[in-house]
Amino acid sequence: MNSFKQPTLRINQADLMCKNGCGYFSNADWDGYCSKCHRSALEKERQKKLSSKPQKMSGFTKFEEKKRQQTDKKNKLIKTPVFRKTASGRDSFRSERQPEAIHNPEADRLTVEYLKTYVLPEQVNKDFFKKISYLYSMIVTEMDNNKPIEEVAELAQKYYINYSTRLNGHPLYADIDPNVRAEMLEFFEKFVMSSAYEYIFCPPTTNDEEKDLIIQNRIRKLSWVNAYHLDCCISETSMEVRELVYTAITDLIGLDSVKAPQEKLACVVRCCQSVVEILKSCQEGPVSADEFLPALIFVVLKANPARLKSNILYITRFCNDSRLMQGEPGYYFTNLCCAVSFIENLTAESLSMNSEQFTSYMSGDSNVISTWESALFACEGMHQLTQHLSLMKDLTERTATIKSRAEELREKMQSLKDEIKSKVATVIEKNPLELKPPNELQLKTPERTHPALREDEGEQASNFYTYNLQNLSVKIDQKSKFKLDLVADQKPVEGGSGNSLTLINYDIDVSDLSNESDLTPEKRDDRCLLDMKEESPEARLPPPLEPTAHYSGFAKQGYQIPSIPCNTGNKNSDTYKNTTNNGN
Amino acid sequence: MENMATRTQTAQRPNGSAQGKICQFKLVLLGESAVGKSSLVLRFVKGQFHEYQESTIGAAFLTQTVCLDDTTVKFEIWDTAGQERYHSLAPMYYRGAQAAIVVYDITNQDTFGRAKTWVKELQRQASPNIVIALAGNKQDLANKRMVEFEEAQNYADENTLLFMETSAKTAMNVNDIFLAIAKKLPRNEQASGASASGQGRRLAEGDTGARAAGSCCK
Repeated sequence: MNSFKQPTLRINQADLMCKNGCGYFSNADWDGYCSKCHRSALEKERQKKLSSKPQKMSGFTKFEEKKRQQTDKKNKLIKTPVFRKTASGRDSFRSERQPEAIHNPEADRLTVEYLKTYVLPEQVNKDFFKKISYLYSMIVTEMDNNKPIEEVAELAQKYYINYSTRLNGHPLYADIDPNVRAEMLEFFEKFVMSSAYEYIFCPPTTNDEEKDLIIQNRIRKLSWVNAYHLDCCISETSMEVRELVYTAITDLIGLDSVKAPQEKLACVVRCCQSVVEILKSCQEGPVSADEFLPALIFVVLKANPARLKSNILYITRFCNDSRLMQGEPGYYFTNLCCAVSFIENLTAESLSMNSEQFTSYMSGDSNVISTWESALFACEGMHQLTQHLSLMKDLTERTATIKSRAEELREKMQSLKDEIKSKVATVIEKNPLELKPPNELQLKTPERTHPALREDEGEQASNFYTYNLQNLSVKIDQKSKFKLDLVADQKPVEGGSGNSLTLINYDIDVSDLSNESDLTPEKRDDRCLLDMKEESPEARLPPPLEPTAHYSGFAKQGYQIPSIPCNTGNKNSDTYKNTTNNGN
Repeated sequence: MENMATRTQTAQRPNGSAQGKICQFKLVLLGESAVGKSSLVLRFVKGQFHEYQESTIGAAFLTQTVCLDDTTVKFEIWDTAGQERYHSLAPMYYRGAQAAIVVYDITNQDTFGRAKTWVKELQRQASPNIVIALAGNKQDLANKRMVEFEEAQNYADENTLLFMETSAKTAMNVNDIFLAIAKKLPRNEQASGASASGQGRRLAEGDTGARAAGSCCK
């Protein structure tokens, strides 16, 4: 496993070494030389140029080249080269005469701040400012002489150590509290760097700005990378997390707005602490580097801070080394460097995707719909739209599951229905007793209704009710037939024995029937009639003779009006039957 | 977090201003993800183990002080991302480190393989007098062991590494391994002071080193 991955991940020892073979490590910024060999190579080059043409000319060509590269960064153009010329004249003049005074709004502000913060003896203040002016003018002069920035940085670092030794060893500072001394050292650094910021931040002697543009374009091209690609647990759609991510981004962007290296470092620390906060709200358990670094990379990608590379290089060069390599700021700054380095060297493999996919994303051929991007580049509405879309997607999924479940349920219900049906059918088959009419009624009905029916039949054979009643009469006949059959079926022994026993049985069956809902449609008619008969109380009956006349009249009408018969007909039939009953 | 910040405030003081005998060391944690690097450190620094991880703590950077005889040894513990894809960034973390703990999981043979790679890399690229310790974590799961104690011990002996099997869960050997490292570190202020200066340059080198590593896989 390791032997396979080794070539992709590790560097050859030879690659790290100086081209001159002096045994020291090299650096890509120094054209593959170590610092010493690079310097001597530069010196040689410079001397070659000097011999061929005047130095001013070389400076000018440099300026021209710079201008071509940075046409889109106008403020930069105005700042560096224009001030460069005026400042050089002024400062070289001053550094010869009196290095004490720095005329710079930044310096004035810091002087006031210093005097406000520290109440120290006049002698100490004087020494402090003297040292500051000395370093400042040295840096400015060196920069004006187009010295490589690394040399200037080395000089500044040496000076920090010098001043630190002076602070801790010189009798002048002996009375000062060690903590204040440490603060003074920090302030010293802050003062000089802020004052000389224009000269040493992204100086024209370097290609820092070019690097800025490269990384900026790189990050822009990588805008499609989301938390998922980086295998980090930031939830991009959560409102709360989004707020925290914005805080982290703001902190990171703030890197460019402050001047002193330690202030920049403080921005990095703030940003990283926000990242830790993000992770705390996104996951459970301790936030280790396994989660932290991907999250920081995510934030850097989404922030795409201006002049990122320049800022990092500036901090690396001019921040006091002892601070940069120690403590939390050092750790977080290292992480930022790692994040940037990861972005610079990012490949398909490092995002665990195949190379075709990666190239198509990088070239913009295919787009990933990222909720994060829409929030950054489009309006809030767009952002909400994507959020809603993702919600919708979620809802559609849920609807689909609900649908399938409903279908399942329906099938289950269907099977249940079928089951019940078949069970009911078997039960009906097994117990066909329902069909049997009550014996009592049988005995009574022929007695009570029969004469009336006969009468009706004779009088109004064409009437609806007579038809009904005809049915009844038929049913009754049928029932009487059934009775015999069923008895024969069920109780073959009893069937023959005698009427009295079977009669009792049938009576119970009928009451059962009337309570149940309709089971078989054919029996409906006769059941209705049976019910009616049972329900009709003697007291409510109308006088015996009237209804007959009334009924006949209505029957004639009802015969022609189809809508009325159902209800009124029943009623009438009821009354009619009652009358007939009564009459009987 | 607050506590940590104030602690590092004092750590930021230039080495010259240190009172008494306080030595500060930078220690990096290396190893595959999920071998328990952060659990190990949390056990050492906070005396906690979160099996169910109910609370969230920043565990990427922590400091802990160990008293050894007459000196106070202050560890600054730098956690590194263990995922394979971040491997090439590791030099930026371990440059300037005086000590390193390479962690593997005794229940996972692959993590031991990765640990060996780390050790090799540290021996080749880190500062020459770096103290390297090998920690076989998750000793509490010894019944699921995939890496034999003897195998790891022999490897450690061959490479003159400190070696212990640890358990962040039961706290076994956790403090011991840090103490053993503290004992092995040169305990004079100059050592830490000298390594502190010139580290900035190293960081710049690390930057390009990683870049070179990246460019060769293109």
